[in-house]
Amino acid sequence: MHSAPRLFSLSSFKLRAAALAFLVFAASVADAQPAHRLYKIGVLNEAWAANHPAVDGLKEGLREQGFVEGRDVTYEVRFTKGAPGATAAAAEELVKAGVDLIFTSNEPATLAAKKATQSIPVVFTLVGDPVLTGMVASLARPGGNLTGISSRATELAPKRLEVLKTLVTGLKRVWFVYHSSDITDTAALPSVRDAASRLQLELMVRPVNDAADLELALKEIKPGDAVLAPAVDTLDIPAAILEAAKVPSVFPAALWVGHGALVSYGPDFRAQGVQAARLIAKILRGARPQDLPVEGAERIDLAVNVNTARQQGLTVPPKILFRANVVQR
Amino acid sequence: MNAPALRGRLFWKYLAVFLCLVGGVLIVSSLVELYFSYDETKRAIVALEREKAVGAAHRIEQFVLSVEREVRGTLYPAPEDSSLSLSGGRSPVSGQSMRAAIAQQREFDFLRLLRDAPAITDIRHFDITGKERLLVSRVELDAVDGGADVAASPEFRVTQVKKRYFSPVYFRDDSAPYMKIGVALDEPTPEVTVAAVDLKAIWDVVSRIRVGTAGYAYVVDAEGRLIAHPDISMVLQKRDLSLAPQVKGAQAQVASAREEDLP
Repeated sequence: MHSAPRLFSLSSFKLRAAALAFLVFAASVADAQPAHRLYKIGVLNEAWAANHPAVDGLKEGLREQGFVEGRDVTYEVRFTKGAPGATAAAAEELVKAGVDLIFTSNEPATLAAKKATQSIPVVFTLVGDPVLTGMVASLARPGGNLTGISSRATELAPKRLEVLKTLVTGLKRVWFVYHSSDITDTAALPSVRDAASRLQLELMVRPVNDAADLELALKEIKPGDAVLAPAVDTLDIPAAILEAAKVPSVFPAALWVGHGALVSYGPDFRAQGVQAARLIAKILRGARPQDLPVEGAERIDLAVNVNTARQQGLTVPPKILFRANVVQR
Repeated sequence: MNAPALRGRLFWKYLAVFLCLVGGVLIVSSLVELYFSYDETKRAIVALEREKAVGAAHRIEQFVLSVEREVRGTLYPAPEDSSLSLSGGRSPVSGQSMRAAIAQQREFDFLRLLRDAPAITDIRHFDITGKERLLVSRVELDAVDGGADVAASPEFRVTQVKKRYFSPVYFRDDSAPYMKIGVALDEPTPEVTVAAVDLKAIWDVVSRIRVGTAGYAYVVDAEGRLIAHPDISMVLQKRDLSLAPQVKGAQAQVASAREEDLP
């Protein structure tokens, strides 16, 4: 008795069918769900604590974009307490740790990140002039692996001078003190000089090299003068001005007004972090940093401390009050 | 010997015919179903896209009009008539001091606008001859009687005639999209106020629109130039999309809607 030759044994047929079905299922499932990754973001910060407002803004902004800490993204925060050399070491450490992206919050940190990696995307904030300081080739086409938010510090320096003039009636002389290696403030010098002559102010320019220079410069300030504080923290010059000079001073950020400074004009730190988060979300989703133009900080705030004004014998004029976003009492 | 073998072969033949028939009918019916459902899905997607586009267009329009409204709120009539009095009382205030008071108030209004409308970067006020009388800026130094003469520029000429003007989108620093909005009172030769408005807020609205996994939205201006797109480098290239069929279709729709509005 012959039985028709069996070309396929039933069990191997089932096996093949099952394998095919599984493949089809796996393919469709894989297609339906995008790959879920945990992104590692390195945070390079020269601050004294891990909770810098720009970093808070970054976390909040990324949360808004759908990247929740712990579930979609983790942060490797390195704050270097202003110790020299620590920033460069921290940048290299982050690169070795294999982070997907580095977030920085001022010029020195950004330059350290740029030196440490030419391939990992770097998104910066609190950089006053990204083109002049060599971070990017141009604002519209950054080229390279860096992009971010410009705090427009160089651009806004003349405006800070104007705020001082409006606030202090009869002001004649303004001191501009900054560190000699500070490219952002050095770049602002021509426009600040121009503004000073338009505003009929005498401008005393004092680039300093170290703490001794700084002390001498601060001693030269007479009552009735005013100070234009630098946009960059090198040598803690803004803090020194706040401490020592008892004359009206204008600072680049509202943070200082909260600590007792008279007035500030410049973008909010936290808002820059939130703005950077939008860029970072695009990069994590596949965009290349060289294609994302550098954005100018959106919220430019005027902050004034009414207490300090009273202590210094100044009345805040309506022009300042109408413009002020933040009034510290 | 043959009978069982024959029955076996016949069985397989019947099975094969049966399978082909059933299978064939199944295949044909699922193809038909596939075609109709494809058509239906396509229609549904187009309807969804249209809805999102209309929604985004509405948001953009609301944004631009709200900025125009705020700038319009700073306009005051020119005090030509010496009997026009601030207090409404019987004794008229002289035209000169009225003008000074209005100029002061205008400066306060502009400063307040800078505080309350982050999208506005600067506001300029021009007198009836087109000379700049007041500049209040977030970035540049403020100026009173700056003197720049813009009588020939479209933002001045068109605003004086039509009382409102929306400039084509232009770029600052090659990367930030801006629009100039001009406003003027309904007088024969009014003074003109022009605000420079940062359009990034609109771009965020547009770039966040997603349809499915690959759908996106973009914006073209009246002439068909690309002014917003999730990929900003396309906008910076200033692409001209006026020949694209969907753009032509949309322009035709706008034109016919406008015709319907006319009495």
